[in-house]
Amino acid sequence: MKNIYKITLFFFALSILGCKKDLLDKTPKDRLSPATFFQNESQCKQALIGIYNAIQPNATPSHFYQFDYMSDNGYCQDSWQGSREVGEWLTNTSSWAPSAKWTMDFTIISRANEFLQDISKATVSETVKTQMSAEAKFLRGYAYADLITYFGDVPLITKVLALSEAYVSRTAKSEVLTQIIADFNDAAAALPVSYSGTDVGRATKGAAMAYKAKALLYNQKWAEAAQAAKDVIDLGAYSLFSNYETLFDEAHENNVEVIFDIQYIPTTQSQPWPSSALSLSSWPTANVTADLINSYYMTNGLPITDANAGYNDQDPFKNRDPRLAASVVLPGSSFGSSTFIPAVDQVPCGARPRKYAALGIADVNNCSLNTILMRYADIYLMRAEALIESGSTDPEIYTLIDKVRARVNMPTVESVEGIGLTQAQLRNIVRHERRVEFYNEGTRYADMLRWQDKSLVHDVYGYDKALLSNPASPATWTFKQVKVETRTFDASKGWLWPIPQADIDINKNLLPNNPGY
Amino acid sequence: MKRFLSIFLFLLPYMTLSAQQSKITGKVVSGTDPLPGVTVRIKHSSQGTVTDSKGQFTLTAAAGDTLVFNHISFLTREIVANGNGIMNVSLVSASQNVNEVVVVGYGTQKKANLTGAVGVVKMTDMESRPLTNPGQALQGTVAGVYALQSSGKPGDDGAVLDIRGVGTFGDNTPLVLIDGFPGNINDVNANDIQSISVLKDAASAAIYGNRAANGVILITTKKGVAGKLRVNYTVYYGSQNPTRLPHVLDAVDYTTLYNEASVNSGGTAKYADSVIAKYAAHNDLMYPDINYFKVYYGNANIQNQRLSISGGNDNVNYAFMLGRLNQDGILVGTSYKKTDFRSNIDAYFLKNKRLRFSGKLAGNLGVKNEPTDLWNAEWYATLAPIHPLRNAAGQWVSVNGERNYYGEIKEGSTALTKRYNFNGQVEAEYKIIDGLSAQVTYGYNVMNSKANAFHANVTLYNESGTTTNLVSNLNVTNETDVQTLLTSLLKYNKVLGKHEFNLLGGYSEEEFTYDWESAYRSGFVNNTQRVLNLGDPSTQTNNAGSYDLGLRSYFGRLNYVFDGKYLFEANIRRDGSSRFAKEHRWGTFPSFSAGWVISKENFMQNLTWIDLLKLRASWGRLGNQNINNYYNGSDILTSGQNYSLGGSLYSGVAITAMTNKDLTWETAQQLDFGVDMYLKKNFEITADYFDKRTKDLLLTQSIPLTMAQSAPYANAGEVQNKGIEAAITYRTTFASGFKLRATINASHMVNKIVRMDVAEQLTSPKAIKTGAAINSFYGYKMDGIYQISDFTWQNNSDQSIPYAQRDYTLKPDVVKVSNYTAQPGDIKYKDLNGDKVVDMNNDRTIIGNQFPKLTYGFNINMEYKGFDLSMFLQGVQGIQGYTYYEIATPFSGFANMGDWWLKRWTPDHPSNTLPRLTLDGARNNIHSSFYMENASYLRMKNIELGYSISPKILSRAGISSLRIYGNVQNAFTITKFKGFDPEQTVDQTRAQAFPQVRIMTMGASVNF
Repeated sequence: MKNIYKITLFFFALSILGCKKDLLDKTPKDRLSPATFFQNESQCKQALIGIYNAIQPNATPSHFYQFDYMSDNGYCQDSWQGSREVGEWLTNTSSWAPSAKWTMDFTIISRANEFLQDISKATVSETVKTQMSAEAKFLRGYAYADLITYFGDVPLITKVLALSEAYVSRTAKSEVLTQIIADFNDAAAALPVSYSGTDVGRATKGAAMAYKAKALLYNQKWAEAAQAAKDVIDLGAYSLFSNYETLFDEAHENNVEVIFDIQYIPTTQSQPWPSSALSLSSWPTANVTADLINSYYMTNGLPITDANAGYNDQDPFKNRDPRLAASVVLPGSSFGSSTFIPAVDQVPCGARPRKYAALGIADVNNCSLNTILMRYADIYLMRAEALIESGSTDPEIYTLIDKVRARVNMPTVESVEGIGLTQAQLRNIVRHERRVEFYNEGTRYADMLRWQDKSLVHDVYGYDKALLSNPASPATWTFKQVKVETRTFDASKGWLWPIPQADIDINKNLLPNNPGY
Repeated sequence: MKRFLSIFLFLLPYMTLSAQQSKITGKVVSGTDPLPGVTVRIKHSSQGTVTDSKGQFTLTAAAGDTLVFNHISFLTREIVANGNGIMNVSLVSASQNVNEVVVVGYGTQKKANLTGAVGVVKMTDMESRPLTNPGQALQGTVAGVYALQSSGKPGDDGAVLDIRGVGTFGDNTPLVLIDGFPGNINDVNANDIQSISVLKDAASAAIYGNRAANGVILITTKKGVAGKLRVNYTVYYGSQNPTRLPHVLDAVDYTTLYNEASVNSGGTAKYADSVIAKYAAHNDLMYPDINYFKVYYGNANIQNQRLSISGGNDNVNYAFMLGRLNQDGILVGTSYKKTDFRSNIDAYFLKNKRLRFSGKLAGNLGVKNEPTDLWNAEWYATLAPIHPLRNAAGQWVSVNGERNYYGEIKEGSTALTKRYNFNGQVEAEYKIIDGLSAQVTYGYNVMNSKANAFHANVTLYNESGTTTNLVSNLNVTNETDVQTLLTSLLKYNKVLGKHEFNLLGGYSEEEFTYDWESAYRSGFVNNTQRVLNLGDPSTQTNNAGSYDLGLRSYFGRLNYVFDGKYLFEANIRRDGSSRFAKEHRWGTFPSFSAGWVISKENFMQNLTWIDLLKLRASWGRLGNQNINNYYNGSDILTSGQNYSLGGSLYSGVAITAMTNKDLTWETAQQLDFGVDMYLKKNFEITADYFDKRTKDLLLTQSIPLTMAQSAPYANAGEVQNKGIEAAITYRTTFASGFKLRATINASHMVNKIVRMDVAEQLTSPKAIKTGAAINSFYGYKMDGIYQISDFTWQNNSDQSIPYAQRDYTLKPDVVKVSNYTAQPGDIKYKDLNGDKVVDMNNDRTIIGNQFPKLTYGFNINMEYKGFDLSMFLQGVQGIQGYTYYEIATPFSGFANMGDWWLKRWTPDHPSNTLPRLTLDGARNNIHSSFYMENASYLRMKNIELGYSISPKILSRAGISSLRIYGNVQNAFTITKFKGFDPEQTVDQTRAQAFPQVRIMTMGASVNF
């Protein structure tokens, strides 16, 4: 072969190694496009699951227990976790807790809006569309109800926005509430009462109705709230789980009392960091206030301050409402495999949470305990509160509260507090009952906000740990309360959180911010 | 076929035999001084010798042979032997070298004919520096190049390179071409480099268009030259230690200050006096006084070896290089071992070498070991001294019931990453007719990285008496990055009288694919067998991802020189990128440059002190598409948005990122004026002015949080980098034989966002704001400290009330801070809009710049009688650093505090610079100038003393040269910076960091 041919052949061969025709026509290899996605039921369900995904805590201060730390029930001395400044009423526009909640709720809303738009064009049956749309609306209502509780007026977005429409301003809270109720009504109309097997955990008719009751109650729509709660009771789908302590166990997940929860499974879908097992059982930052411990009644139904209570302040845990020991790791009680000795533990308050703590779990970073967001006991107490606030003193109120007390063998209202009580007396009873029933379930701080009760914002006291040091003889312990944190209500800030600065920096239409920020 | 076989026998030293050999003796001088150490070689032969201390040599050669005289500091000379047996030669110092050839895009160019701004690094200065990464060679050596070594971590100590400032919000890394192939600067051994050219202005870089907007670095590796087989072996051993670690509090000071902060926050003292006494006693492991920096950081060894073999004959040249680096890290659990090889072979065929084949193969294996929780290890190195490390029983003690990273690393929580890189290129060039040649290059680079990140099973003892069991787990990740390149060039050179033409036309395409897979299991049988199958199968998860990218370009260049005086060059380039949607895919980028060699004009001939004076001007545009979003043509649903129902996992998808389908090329336009001068044979001066404007900036545009999607890229505005840069070199050889070379270079630059087409991003501590530099620090301006006199309190400010019991109210005329109830001792901020309230929306401003105003370097080399001494000083001025959290912020997490906090505000010592201590974040976490620091520094980057043993002694041992040396890198630093090291990562805002290292080495280099 002549050299010139060899050379030509070589250059030709080298050239064909390259020269790809479609070199510049690249489409995503490992991701999907919404334009071609919603083709069948299984794909629609994947998009629906994408909304549920967003109800998990997105940041440390959005875990449920942090809302107890913000309230008079608890305290977390680590300021980085974000709840401390909230509890001290030192929240500012750059605080983590407001921006985490804002982002978390708007993620649910944005995904629900995208889903509702896309499923309308999907090639699936109307039955599937109706059911899944109802779930998306439930989740959107759930997020908006949370937003108005903390922020008041918020932007109301119910469709997918183009970037040019994205610079939204705030909508009056009442208008947002109307949308919330409409979403819950739509959801309740289309959702089934229950699911079985691997659908358990999806939003139900009862969940939509219960959250409607809650939204109405939180927004002082007393009569409607009472009716909505009654509708849940009339549904007949739920009852109280017999054992208060094991109600929160992994073994009893999805029990008869659970109306809606966040579902977790080990490894692939465990609680986001920091899981409750890490936060409540391992980190010495989960404090229970002396004020909470003191608020549990004696088994005779009397508060410890009552002269006839039989309370001994040096044997303070004897004959107390069983919910105290079930919810709190008290000094000298079992703490996983050991005995809890406050002096050698690092929590400043001398007591830790027990409920949800997953004590003794093998891997604190792999906690799969479901977080109950709504349970049937709340329906009783919400209806009772709604009735009381609407001016009723109906005997049903007593019955509702008694049902919650009866599970833990606490005496009835009639037998201890008596009958013919005034609205103010009943209000105190139901508020107290909420506190001890729902301790460490993340509801107390929201209750404080909606009750707007300044007396609940006060300094934090705990037990003097040094006096609780000898494990051999708890009988010699001295219980003395000491102040561990100063909390002062800031009237200028009042009861709302600030719109996060991170969003205001981008979108000035959100100004003015809430008062005090 | 036989002929092809013979090509592959290149390993055998090729000998040329000549008839009629005769002895030649001679003397080599420079002026009147004899020159020892000059290599004298017969061209195209392996025969050669070296001049002795009197500059004399003896060699056997035939009449008509060409003798090549070679010395590093002098111009190489070739002289034909005349057969009379005597040859006295005078060499000219290389400093007068106006004919120096510089590597430019797709070729070389006489330095005198350059019209663009090209900086050249002389690798001969670098040979014995313990460079673990070639980027370090660019530090302070080329004006206008800001090379910042962000860390001293083995395997990740590459420099961050900015050429003429940061002009983009995306990747600002310059394009690095290693022998023409785009690659990672870390994949070439610093010792294998022949030359580095930095193409700074648009006109020089234009030929590399689509990826050249940030400048281009051309690395040419060593090639074989015809002659005898040359063997070089270098070795060094050394020790590394941290350049600086902040001064922190001891246990007694820490606990005392903590108590003060606790009381200031409304709590009680946490540590009783008896407890503080236990810390002071230093006899209880549970009440320790540990400087955690000393636990996590220590001295570490480094050793490096390199062997190179090169040679060739008329038709085949070859070079083989083999290197091995073995570096331990100063952080516990870190080490890096790298083995690399490179081979360059050029073979010529046909008459007049009309056909050339070149093959280049290079590869390296880097084995990096580091803590699996690297960030956390660096973070825990800042721990407060009171956290026990181990208890009396030898158990590792958890910090706050959490972790003990030091203990975990010791038990085996390390990540081992093996990175394999292989690069192969074939190239053919054929001279079609005289002056016209065609060239095709095809190459590919494949990088595979296998990471094995293990968390050991460790039982930690908690201070509460309980134990925490950390379950072992393993994460295995494989990444494969494949890059292919095809370039075709047609080159034409023609000289017509005084006219000199160079034409280049070309086509290139590049394709990138990236894939990764990962797998996970927990619950391993033991801590030593880190293989997936030994984990609990019920815990396994896996994941994967994949990206690709295609680039296609057409380009052309015209270069015209008239009479060696008037220089002109034009480039045009058309580029397409698959990153953009179809309609926005293509961009066209032209550039022009011109030069005028004034010194060649007749009217300059009388000015004999001017050897060269050249003026240059250039203007050009370059495109940039280098953003980390690969696909802007379609909306994307992200998978992995999962949820479980009834105990089963369901896959979920969601739109998590917004896409901008109108996105197109970012354009960097640059104007450059420069002057080059050689004066009085000793001075070489280069100076440039440049104005670089990056338009249609690719920037992630912030979108409202209510959209709940990550931000899309937008063509967002314009950034300007304007500056001047200059370098002066002075070289001389004194009559005594003392040689001196000194270079000083400096560049001053102003970076400014000229215009924003999308909303400014006024976030703290870094913001994107029109009129300010990119990512300037942004926050409140500190305006002293609130003093007691700024407040009133109970009882008409009754002085007799103890300080702690006063109920302070701010006086009405004192500026207050919204969001924040000020107390005496808190930081006071400047009220910029004068409304007496400091708030986030009206009173934040630019408080610092993270790019230096001035960067400079000073290099001095001296040689005398076999000894050589070199020093390299490097500095930056007008730069700020932000140090936040950890040691900078009081009681941040579990961290210690800098000892400067001992001078904090107290009622008795009312400081006006350091606030009082508190525990809550509300006051400490406000971004302000309080956390700004002056990060200017002057650093003795390198100092080296060497000795070359006389060739006369060596020649008896068959050694042609031997040099031994000692070297200190990062010897000392002058700075006011309080954090770890002023030379820290751009965008770093936390105090946590991997310290820089000081390296002390001893080494030797020997040539056979």
